[in-house]
This record gives sequence, C-alpha cells and structure tokens, in this order.
Amino acid sequence: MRREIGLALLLPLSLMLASGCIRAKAEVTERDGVRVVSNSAEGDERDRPHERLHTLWKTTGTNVAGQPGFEAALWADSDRGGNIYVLDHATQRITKLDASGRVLGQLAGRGEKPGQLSKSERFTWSDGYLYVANGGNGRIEVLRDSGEALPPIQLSEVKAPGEIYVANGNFVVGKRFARDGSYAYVYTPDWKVRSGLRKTDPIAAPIDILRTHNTTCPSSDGLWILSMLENRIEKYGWDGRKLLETSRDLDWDFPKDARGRVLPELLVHRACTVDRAGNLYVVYSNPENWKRGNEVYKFAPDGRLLQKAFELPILNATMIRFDRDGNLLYSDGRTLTKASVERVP
Amino acid sequence: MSSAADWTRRILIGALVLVAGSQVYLAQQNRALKQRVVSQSAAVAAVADAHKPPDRSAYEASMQGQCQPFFETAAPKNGKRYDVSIYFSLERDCMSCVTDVVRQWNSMTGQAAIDVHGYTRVDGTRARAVLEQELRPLFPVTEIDDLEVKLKAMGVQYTPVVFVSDAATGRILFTHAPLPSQLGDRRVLEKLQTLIQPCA
Repeated sequence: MRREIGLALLLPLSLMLASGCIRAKAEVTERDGVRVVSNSAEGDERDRPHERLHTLWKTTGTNVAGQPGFEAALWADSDRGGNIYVLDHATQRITKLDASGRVLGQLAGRGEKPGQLSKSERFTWSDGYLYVANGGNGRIEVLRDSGEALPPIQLSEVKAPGEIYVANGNFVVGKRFARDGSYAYVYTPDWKVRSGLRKTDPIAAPIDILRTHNTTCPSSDGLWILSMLENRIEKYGWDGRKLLETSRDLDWDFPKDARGRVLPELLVHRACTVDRAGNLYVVYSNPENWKRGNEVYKFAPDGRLLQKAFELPILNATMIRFDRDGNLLYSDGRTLTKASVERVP
Repeated sequence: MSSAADWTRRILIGALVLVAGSQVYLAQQNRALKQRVVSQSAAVAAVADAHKPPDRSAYEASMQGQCQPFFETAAPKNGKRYDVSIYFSLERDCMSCVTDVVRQWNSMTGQAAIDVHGYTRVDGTRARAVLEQELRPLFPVTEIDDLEVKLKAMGVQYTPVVFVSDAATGRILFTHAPLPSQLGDRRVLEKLQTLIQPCA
C-alpha cells in the first residue's frame, strides 16, 4: 500500500521536474567554441552557506570633521598604501581618503581645461598616477595622485571613454554605449592598441543603442561585459576571443516590442566587481521596485551562478568594488562603506 | 477473485492519490501565477510612471502672465518686440527636437520683431562641439551653469521649453512652440499681439 502511495506521489513530482519549474543546476552548452551557461534563478550553491558583510567603516554623508560629503559617489580605487580615491559624479571631484576613511585632499573637478573632468564615471590608479575616463571631454586624463595634471591621452578608437582599468599590465578602456567598433579596447602601457573586445552589433533602430549600455569588470583571464539593460553577461579573453556568456533566470515582466524583443526599460544589472579568486559579483535591480538595487549575486569564473551572496544594507548601490586587500567598497551615492566579506559558518 | 478486488482497490487509491497530488501541484502553480501577476502589475506601473509625461499644459498655464523669470531681465534689444527664450539640454534632448523648435520660431522672425535666444548648460568639450557645430549657426546660445538643476527647482521637469515674452516688460505671453503646421503662420503672432499687457 505504501509503495503505491509513494509511486503515485512520485508522478506529480516528476511532472513538476519535467515542466522545468524546478531547475537546480546551471545548464552548460557550447556554441561555436563559446561556453553558454543558463543559470537557475538562485544558483548552484543556493543552499550552501552565504556570505556576510562586516562593516569596517562608513562615511556619514556629511562634510564635517574630515568626513567626505558626496553627492553621487560613483567609483573608487585604492593605491598600494591603502588610500582610497572616490569619484563624485555630480561634482567631478576625486576625494582622497586614508585607509580609515578620513579625507586627505581633493583632485580635479568639473571643467574642460587640462586636469578637469566631464561626465567621468571611472578611473584607475596605477603607479602613482590616476587615469580618468574623461568621457565628456573625450580623453583620458592623467593626474598625479597629488592632483597635478599631465598631458591627456586621446584615443582614436574610443571618443568618449566610459570605463578604464589596468589589467594584466595593460590598460583597458571601454565605452558605456557602443555604437561602432568594439565595446572595449586593450592598450599597452604606452597606449598602443592591442585588441578590441566584443564587436558591436549592427544598430537597426535608434533604440538599439540602449541595448549596448554596458558596464565591465576585469579579471585575470578576461573582461566581463554586463549588458545593463538586458539579462546577458559575457566574458572575453584579453586576446579578444569570447570565452562565455551567461545569464540568470529572471521572472520579471519585461515590456516587449511587436517582434517579442525585450524593450530595454529597466536596468537589470547595476554594477559589478571581481574578487581575487575571479568570482564575479553583480548588483541586480529589484523587479518589484526597479529603483531598488542592492541584491548581490555571485558567479564563478566559469559563468555558473553560485548564489545570492548578500544584500547590501543600502537601497540603491551606485558602485561595488573590491580593494587591493579584498575588502568591499560600496556606495549609495551619498555614503561610502568599507566592509570585509565573511563566509557565514 | 479477492486478488482482482484487491487490485481494483489499489488502482482506485492510486488514482485518488494521483488526483490529490495533481491538485496540490495545480494549487502551487496557481499561487505562483498570482504572485507573478502582482509583481508584473507593480513593474508595469513603475514603467508607466517612469515614462508618463509631466503635466505640461498645467505648468505652462501657471507661467503665463508672469514676468520673465529666468536668468535675464527684460530689456528691448534693437527694437525687438518679442523675446523667444528656448531652454534646452544638450544631454537629454534630441538634437532634432531642439532644432525643430528653433526653426519654427526662426520662421516667424521675417514677420515680426522676434529675438530667438537659447539657453543651455555645456558640460565637456564634446557637448561644446555639438553646440558650436549644430546649434550656434541657428541661433545665439547663452551658457547657464547647472541649468537643468535650476529649471527643476523652478518646477520645469522637461526640456526643451519655450517662453515667449514681451521684450519691453518681460511678461510671458506664450509658452508653446508653434506646431509644424503653423510654420510662418501669422495668426500665432496675432495671438501674441492680443496677449501683450503691462507687467505688474
């Protein structure tokens, strides 16, 4: 009798599994030599211990007693001495903080002259210099970390630099909207172009330019490119070869056009960062309140979604970034927090 | 015989359990569907709100009759009778949206003493190049720092926005650009004529 009941219960369960409503693991296929990973919504390691943030310090958001007051902190990088440089998008100023978050000084500011910035969103620190993707002025601004401006760099491949990193001893410069050419380019230390990463798709309609809206994160073996408005993440090797593409199941109501294509109305991805092991952390928007973006999901270097790593204790993340010591810097624009990432036992 | 009855009983119980299991499964699916419908409604509402145009006519109506509010005091220039001030954003507005408005008002300048003037914020050399190459040939433009922020503080949520004022007094007479079908239409100017009143 028990056996019959067990068999009868197994049938609906197998139906549920067959209908795909429970997909526990990522599905990996290969297409033209590219690894294609279709991830479940919660990840392969959703039941394993998650991570937890331990706040080391947080700025108050008010400009008092050596505390930085940001309007829209959008990016941060650290030097070898542990100092942190923070770019405020609203003022285009870069504030230098010591390792404990106290203000040491300010650099740059909005303008068109040498050393001034416009619409900058990213910079990178390298050997005592800050290289700023000076998008509105169409150049790479070079500043000593004391603030002194050096001759800027003009790139024929990237007219409006949006992103800049140092990776594998080279510079990587990307476009936030990629209309033509490639999404990002790799340059030697003396600014000779080495390769283009991810060629642009043909733009058939003006709205297609929105589909190229992207943010990138470098890792040791290549560059992650996140389409900010679509559910698509790709990784390209430094030689320009596409390594993988991945996604996360989203039960979101995306508006669609007459051809069934998703209209890029809602931000899917907000920001990303890569830890020292090469794992990718991605901040996702929240489908029930698309202005909210604080859930961080973690992908393995091979594109498998591992799990929802943690939720940032802010409503809307403008940036997340691992510093050189492996601590996480994150901001909601007004405040900046430095936290260590701990595995929950 | 008893074996057949036993099998019949087993089949019946099995069928009952199968039906019960299916019901549970269906109930779960139904609940998930309901949750999805709720979240879809929220997302659709958020998208609709994000793209809902602000109540332009109410704002414009509130501005008519006021005196020139933005950045310049009224002063007749070279005998011009009307000031057409076009506030626009090089960041957000499509270029053709701005140039269409400018061309519409430029088309009126042959019929009346109209001074068409643009105001915008220039952020970066790339925006300056667009301004110099595409817009300055059409009309004079004055740069205003943080224009979008200042307009927003005044209640202007969108650009380009047009204010036509009496050059002598600064009173705002008209806030619309003429429709494309009204290009060069004298009735637009006649309407302006009727609106001129001393500014309090």
